Formats: sequence, C-alpha cells, structure tokens
Amino acid sequence: MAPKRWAQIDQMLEKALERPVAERTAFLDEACGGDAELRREVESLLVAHQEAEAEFLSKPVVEIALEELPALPQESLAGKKFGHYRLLSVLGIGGMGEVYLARDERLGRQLALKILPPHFVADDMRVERFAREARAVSALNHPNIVTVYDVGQLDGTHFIAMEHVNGQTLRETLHAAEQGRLNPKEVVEIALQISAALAAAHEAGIIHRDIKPENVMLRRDDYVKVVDFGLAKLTEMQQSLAKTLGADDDPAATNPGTVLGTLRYMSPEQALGQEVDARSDLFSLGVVLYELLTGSPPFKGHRPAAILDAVVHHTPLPLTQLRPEIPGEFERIISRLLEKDRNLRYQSANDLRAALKVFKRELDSVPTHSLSDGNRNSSGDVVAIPLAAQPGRWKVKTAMAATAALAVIVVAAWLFHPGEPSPWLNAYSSQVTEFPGEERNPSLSPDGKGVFYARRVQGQWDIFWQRVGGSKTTNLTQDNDADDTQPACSPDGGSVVFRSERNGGGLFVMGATGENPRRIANFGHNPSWSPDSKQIVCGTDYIFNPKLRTSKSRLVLIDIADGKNRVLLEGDDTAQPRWSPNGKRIAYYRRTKDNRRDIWTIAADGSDPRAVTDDAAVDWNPVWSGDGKYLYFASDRQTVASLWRVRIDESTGRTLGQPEPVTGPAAAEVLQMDLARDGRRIVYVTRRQDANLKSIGFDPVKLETVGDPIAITRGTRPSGSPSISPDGQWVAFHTLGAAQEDIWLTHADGNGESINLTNDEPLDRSPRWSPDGRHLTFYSTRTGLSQIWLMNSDGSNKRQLTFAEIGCSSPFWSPDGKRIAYQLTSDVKAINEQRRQPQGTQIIETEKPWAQQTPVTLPAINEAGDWFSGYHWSPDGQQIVGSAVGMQGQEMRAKSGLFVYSFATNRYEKITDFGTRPEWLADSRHIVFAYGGKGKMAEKQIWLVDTQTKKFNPIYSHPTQLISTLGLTRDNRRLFFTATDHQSDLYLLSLDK
Amino acid sequence: MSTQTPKEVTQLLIAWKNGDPTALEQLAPLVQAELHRLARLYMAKERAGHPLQPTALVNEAYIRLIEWQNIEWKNRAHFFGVSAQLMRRILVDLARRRQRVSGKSVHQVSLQQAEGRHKERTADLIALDDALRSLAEIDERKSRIVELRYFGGLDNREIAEVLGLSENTIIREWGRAKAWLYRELNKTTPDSQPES
Repeated sequence: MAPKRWAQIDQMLEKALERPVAERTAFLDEACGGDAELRREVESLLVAHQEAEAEFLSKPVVEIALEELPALPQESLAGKKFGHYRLLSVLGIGGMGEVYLARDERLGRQLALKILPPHFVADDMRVERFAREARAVSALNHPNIVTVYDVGQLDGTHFIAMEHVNGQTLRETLHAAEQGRLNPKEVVEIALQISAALAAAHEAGIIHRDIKPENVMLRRDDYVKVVDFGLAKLTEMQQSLAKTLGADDDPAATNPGTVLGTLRYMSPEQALGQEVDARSDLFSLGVVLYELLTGSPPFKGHRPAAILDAVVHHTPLPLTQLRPEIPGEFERIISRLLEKDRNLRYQSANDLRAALKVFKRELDSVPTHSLSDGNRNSSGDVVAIPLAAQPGRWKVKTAMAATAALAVIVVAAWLFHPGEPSPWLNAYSSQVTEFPGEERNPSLSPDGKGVFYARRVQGQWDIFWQRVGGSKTTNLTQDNDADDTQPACSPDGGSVVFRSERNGGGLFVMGATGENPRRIANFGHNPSWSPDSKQIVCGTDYIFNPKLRTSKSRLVLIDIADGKNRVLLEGDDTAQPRWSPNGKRIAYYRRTKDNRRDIWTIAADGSDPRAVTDDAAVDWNPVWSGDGKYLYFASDRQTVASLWRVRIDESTGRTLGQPEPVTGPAAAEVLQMDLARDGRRIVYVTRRQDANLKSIGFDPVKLETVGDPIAITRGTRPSGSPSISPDGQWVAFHTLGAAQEDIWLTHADGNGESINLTNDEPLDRSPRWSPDGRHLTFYSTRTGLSQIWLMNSDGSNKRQLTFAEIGCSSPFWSPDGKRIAYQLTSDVKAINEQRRQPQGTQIIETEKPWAQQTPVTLPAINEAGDWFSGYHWSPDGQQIVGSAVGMQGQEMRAKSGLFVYSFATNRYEKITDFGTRPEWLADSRHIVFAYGGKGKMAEKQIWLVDTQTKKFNPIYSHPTQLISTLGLTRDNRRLFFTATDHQSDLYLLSLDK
Repeated sequence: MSTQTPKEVTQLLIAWKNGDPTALEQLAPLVQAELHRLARLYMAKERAGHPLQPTALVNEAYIRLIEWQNIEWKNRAHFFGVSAQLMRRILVDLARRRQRVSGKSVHQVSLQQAEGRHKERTADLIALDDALRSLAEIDERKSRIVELRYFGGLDNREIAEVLGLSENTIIREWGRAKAWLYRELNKTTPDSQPES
C-alpha cells in the first residue's frame, strides 16, 4: 500500500474514532463517498482497534522477555576447592559477584570469599589500586571495618578474601524490625560506629563511595562492621554493585535493582558525576540513617533519572513528619548530613561523631520514664528526648540551602549532554533578598553591581534598588500608590523603564534613582531597551508563569523620545521581548495555537522570525548574553523550571547547538532571570509555595467557625484536596509536586504519621471517601489519560472505573455511594473544531463495569453552552453544587459564580457570583466555599452561602495565606482547608567570588 | 573467559551508531548476557516476592554496560531511540534463533491468544517485528511509537517528549498503530489457509 493511501485511511480512521460508536456508520457513509475500499479498510481497523484495546501489546516486551530468557545456569562452587580455600556454602549472590563462606585450609580459619565478575576486574591498574586501598583500610585494624585478608586471582578469577561477620546486614535488620524501622536509640548507636569507621578510613585517605544498608553489617554482639571500602571504585561507574557479605539473600531485595538500590544512597555530587570526597560518604550515611528511622529511603523513584533527580533536587519529607517522636536534635543532625551542598554538611566524620555523642549524652541523661507523656512511639517503648517536645517543621533553612545548591549541572546534562560543562557549574550562589513575601522581575544594572526589582510591601508592589551583596534597599516608587513592577535598566545605566498601574496603567521611564517618572505608553509589559537606549520593545501582556497563561500578547516598539509606537509582531501569543546586544534581533516568547511555548527571534525590522527552541518543553524569559553568543532562557525541560542556554548567531538568529543546562533546578522553580552584560552574573527569581492542610472548628447551628486553626500537615510538599472519613478519624489528601503527585492518609487530629496510599509516577489526585468509609475514589493518569479510579481505604485493590476517551477528573460520591460523578476535561481543540464530545459533569454507577455503564451527562448550564463542573453532591441527594466553564473565543475559561443543579427540575440556579470548591453542609441548604480575590475580598477566604436566600458571609480569613480546597467532617463540626504561603526571592549566581 | 569492560561496549555502541553493522553482532551477545544475568536476578526476586520493574531492569542493563560519559548522545530522543532499537534487534534475534531450533511455523498465533503462553510468544515477536517493518514503510511515525513503547518501555509522556509531539497525539497514534498491527497479525496467511 502506498503511504499516501494509508495516510488517507489513517485520517479517516482518526475521524471515525473521534465519533461516538453509534455515529460512526453514518459518518463513514458520508465521508467515504463511493470509495468502498477505503470504507472497508477503516471498518476493519475500527474492529481491530476495539479488539486490540485492552491487552494487545499492553506490557512492554522486556517484561515478557525476562520471563522467557533462560536464566544462566547457576554453577555453584560450593564444596569445591579454590586455591587453598575450600568453599563451604553460598552466603549471597548479587551484582558484584558471589560470596561464599570458605575455609582457609592453611590457616584453618573461616572467612568470606567474594568472587568478582570478570568485567569488573578487567583493568589491572584499577584492581591493583583497589587491593592497595583494601590493604590500607585493613591495616587500620579498626573494629568497625571488615578486614580484608587477601585480594587476588586464581585461574583467572578474581576474589576478595575477608573477615566473615556472623550477623546480618542493616538491610536484613530493617526487614526483620518491627514496622520495618529502628528506634532512635538503636540508630544513634549504629551511626556512631559507622562514623567511627569512616573517620578512620577518611584519615587514611580512603573514601568508601558506596555506603548503604547492604554494606553495613550488624554482628550478633551489636558490633557494626562496614564492608567493601573502595570497592565501588573498581567498577568505574560509581553506582557500583558492592555486595552483601555474610548474607543469604540479595542486597536489594526491596529495591527494583541493584544499581537503583545504590543510586538511592548516592550524594548529589556523585549523581552529577563530580569528584567525591569524604563528605560524600557522610551524605550516604545520612540517607541510611533516615531510612533506618523511617523504614523508607528519602529519595525515591522507579527510574534512575527519577532517583537521581530526587537526590539532586528534592528535600526529603521531614523526619518528624514521618515519625513525630524523633528528637529535633537528631533530625537536625540528619538533615545536615543530607545538605545538597557538601560545604554545608559536617566537614568530617569526626565532626559528625562529636554531634552524635552530644546528642547521645542527652538521650542517655534523661530518665526514660520522665518523658513518657507526649513522647510515645508506636512500638511501645518510650523515647526520652528533651528536644522532642517541638518536632517543628523541616527547617526553611534546608530548603534555602537546597536553593543555594543551584549551581549544579542537571542529571540529564550528565546523562545526555556530556560536552563542555557550563561555566556556571562552579558559580558562587548567594541569596540577594530574603524578605517575607515576594520579589520579582530582577534587572541588573549594566555594570552588574546593582539590581532593580519589584517587591510587594503590604499588598503594594514597588520598585526597589539594591547593591548586589548589600542589604540596604531603596524604594524608587514610593511616592505612588499604584503597583509598579517589571523594571528594566537602560544600557547606558541612566534610566529605568517599568510597568505601572498609575493613571490607567502603562509603561513609564524614570531616572535610575527614581526621579522624574513619565509615561511613554498607555500599555505594555516586560519592556526591553534597544542597545542605543532610544527605543523600547515590549509585550502587551505579562508573563510570570507561562504555564498558567491563556491570554494573547503582541510585541510593540516604542520610541522613547516621542512615545510613537508600532506593532512588531502579532498573531500568536508573543511576549517577553529582549533586544540583542548588537540591536539586530529581538528574542521573545511565543505560544502557538496548539500551545507550544518556545523561544523565537525576529529581526528588529519585524522580518524573518525564527525558532530558537522547538520542543515540547515550556521555554520562556529569553536573555542575551552580553557578547551576543548565547541566548539564556528558563525552561521546564527538567520538570522543575530551571535555566538553560543555547549558542546562537546574534545577527541571523540561527542556533549553533542544542540547549544546554546552565544550572540545575533547585527545590524551587526558577521563574525569571537577568544576566549581567559581562556575562559573569545571573540574578534569578525562585518561588516556593508551601501548601498545608489545616482544620478549624465549625458550629453547624450558628454557622460560624470556632477557635483557631490547627495544623494537619507540615510538609514542604504541597498538600491539598482534603476529604474526611465518615467516622471523622482520617483525612485523605493529595500532595502535588514536580516529581510525584500522590494520595495520603493522615489522622484528623493532625497527630501521627501520614500514610502513603499511592507512591508512583502517575498523577493521583483528589481522593474522596465513600459514604461507607470503605473506599476512596480519585483520579489518576496511570493509563496515560486522567481517569477515575477506586481503591480500598488502605490503598489496596486499585481499579479503574472509567475508560473514557477524554480525561475525567475530580470524582465525588452520591450520598448513598451508589453513584460517582466526575468532571470531564474539555478538549479545547475538539471544541474549536466543533467535534461533538460530552462536556461537563458525568455520573456513573459505582458497581458496574465500564462496558455496562451508560454515563449520564448533566445538561449545559445555559443557552450559551457553558457547562457545569460539579464538585459536591448534597446530603439529601437532590442537588449538586459546582461552577461553570465555557469557551471564550478559542479558549476555555472558568466562569465566575457557583451553580446548583437540581435533579428534580433538571435545571441550574446561580447561587453566588464568585467562589470555588463548594461543599454542602449536612442540612443540604448551606454551602461553604473558598474565595480569595482581589480588593476587599482579598482577606476573606472561606465563605458560607444560604442557597435559599442567597445571602453570603465570610467565616474565616487569613491576612497572608491563600485558602483553597475545603472539606467538612460529616457532623460539620470541623472544617479542613488548604493554606498556602508564597515565597519568592532573588538569588545571584556569580562566576567571581 | 570473556572480559568485556564497559569501555568495549561503549566502543561498539559508537561504532554501531556510526553505521558499522558488524558492531551489533558483537554487541548483541554482551547485552544478552547482561539480560540473562538480570533475568536470573529477576527470577530470584520474583520467587522471593519482590518482582523487579522491567523498565528499571532495562535502564539498569544500559547503565551498567555503557560508559555514559563517552557517548555523545545528541539528545534524549537519540538515546531512547537507540536503546529501543537495540532492544528490539536483540530480542527478535533471540526469538529467531530459538525458533530455528524448535522449527515451528510462525504466523498462526495471534498475540492476544498467546498472552500467557510462553512458547508462542517467540513466534509473536518475529511476526510483530515483520509487521512493524511493514508499518514503517507506510507510516514511520507509528512504527517508532510502537518501538519506543513496546521495545523501549517508555510511557506516553516520555514518547511525547522524545518525538516532540503532544501526549494526546501519542495516545491516539498508539491506538491506531495497535489497530493496524493487530489486524495485520491476525490476517490469515496464504500458507496456513489455501485459497479456495
């Protein structure tokens, strides 16, 4: 068949598939005309499509292949003689070879003999170096280090003969432990001994490189023995496969693979392929201690890249959140070990030992019984720690330090861009501003010594100037009550152009110290100067976070002298222009109709637009380097937004290579940046959001909140969408984040640990308890498209309820639990192409399989075709409350106001003009909802409305936090909500100290 | 005793990338041996109730075999493309060899029927490979999507990233590619059913 003919068939097939099954025949009748073969082809493919749907090719072939491949026969050497060693029995098998219990027939002693796989020992030099190190470590004769007797070769097989430890690995100890974790006292003891071993080895100049639970043995008499010093180095790649000694099972039994197992304990510098040093071992030890205490490693992922990403960028969940009884001091010690920047860790194993000893003394000095209240631990024994009374939050400091560690090359760079490393790899990082709240829009002065930025003080934005490295700030726009933002310093350093909302809004120019502001345009955002300081190019609309962007901006040129302007570019959404240093081209952000967000350049005369990036990632905020050789930009190509650059010809806009990472993403998103003209300083904005669950008392009779809120979650991972179990004991919620979005349970009183119900890469969101408390429904992208799922309330038996062709989200139950309603994700493209698809809210029956379902779609809200996004079913079963969504031009927009759908009338009633996330009270009459808009509404964030009188009033507000998702207990006596704190700050990267 | 180091594997990969067809012949047994070794681990884990993630295994195989630093992957797409292709070649070759040994006829079993039956999978894989080649002749993109997903173990999001397409496009293309392949594999061949 000719490709052309196939293309025609394929296109017809696609169109047919977009239609409901019932309409396909009619469609083909019409569309295929007299082409009987075309029709036959499409029809047979439609049948095949149906049949192939479920199982065909559903598993990757590797899975099948692995079951199929005949495992290599395992030749056990047990019983055989190996030189003067008699092999007695197998102790373990794994990636780094096989370990036997053996007898040295000459000396008559028992030992462990590790046989190394040939390809790890092909390099004689390396083997020799390893042997030397092994001998050096053994010569220390340290009680906490396993002694190596001999490294050698017999009949071409390399082996290591070493002390046989009668005990088990920490991995096995963890497996055997109650609840899979150890108590703090045991862990301190182990930590002290490992750090003693490390201190001795480090002093002898030997780094372990592979500290993990499999490499630490616990002898029966509680002696800790560290195994395999330096062995990791033998394998070239640092993710070595050092192997359990004296164990009868595999080292990584709980991990997906040995390499992956090792990755979890790797320090960020190891993960990035940099030189390791003694402090790298300390990081790995921190990971081990964290796992010993919580039973779960701090950095997780199913793929190497995901684990490495977590190691390099993610701050682990606070220990005290997983296990509140862990003493604050211990948490501090471990979080210091886990600092991304090794300069912030303990600088030596001896420093760590000192800290551990002080802590242990405190532990031991407090009589166990005197602290019995408040310090229970679930295994029944009481942990006595003076500092435990305030478990506290994971320090803000930790997150800051993670941000400070921004000057690292990203994992993908290591894996996929092994070329010249960016000079920024070793840049010095410092925090420029640390005010509470937000700072944005940095612009460096031409000499790079000062920075202009916008900062919000008491709700109002002003433009500030600050010397880099200094702390004194000057407010340049304090004379004015309007918001002033987006400053850009002119290339001659004399003026600043900025956006102001004064007098109807527009662009203004003032002197660099704030004098003589004057209007140059009554529109404009993100202004950029021409190199001669005579013109400005700007967008007509603003970008902060391009992912949230739906409006359409044009690029406009303005003459500074007379304010005359002309449109440079319109059509697609184009914004954030930046003039190149030689003045010939302008770089900008462009969003096309199919939502690709890339960087483009255009000649300053408006001709010759050309793509710089053309990929699925979101790219924005282009900035030229001072010499015009690079274009820097922000991009989410590594999940969390970070800085990238690409070599470019400034005059033609042609790129001269692939984008390369400038810095790695940190704990926070990098949203805006500027680059000094000499190319040696970058100032950028990171933003963090802490979203946590809180609950407050509610009086269902007086209809008002009671008392102050209490904290339910205290993580750095944003939590939201609370749903309270019918018995009021548990809260289900989801955590959002760059790496994973999962569902958790926690105690409704805010005490105790959170339980992870999903832990995987697909998004899992919006859990809702079934009325009988036995199940949770949620939505998940585990099949690619977001669909509705159900699981038991302990997280078991996850099953897919909907198999729809478009996304389904935000499920909720009917009060009798027999039905589940959910929102359909509108496919804007389909709507624009006038393809018919169900929209709005659908209802299915909980018990029926999908094939037998006839989903009921609720009608459109009005004649304009706005549809209804249902959120919550009234307890009397008669009504659903939700909001409206509709098309506005080519785009989908949420319409303001809450609507109630009545099953009795099949009609909607508008209840309010504002608000989101409505929840019914038990009386099926009142509704609570969230809203924190601008102006007077800004501080009133939880509201209550009477659906009969439509009277509404605020019931809770917070001056700075944003309140979003709500959840009520069944008795309506407690109200749960998400409270979000925003923080954005300026950071500086400098190539000079 | 063979003493292949990561370096040699890397050299071979580079050679293969540069168009040396003999490199694959040398490469295949190395990757295969690694897969065998992993299969052994895999079985042991499964018996112990800790099954491994198959994609993790493939990743692991590559990480262990390759000196990452010395290969200039043009980009992610390139890397994933190469590994999926390599995996396809190796597994299909393996299947062909096994089939030559058992001497069975191929085209009779549908993949779906074979689900759960080991022996027949070998035949399926060869048939699938053939069908995929036919598909590539008329629709290169669909064939790549199948290769990346089925042989490379990538999910829709990753494929979207690799090919620079939207995830929705991938989902739809994958559905249609499966339909085509399914129909192709279930066609009754002239050999098995003489024309009447």
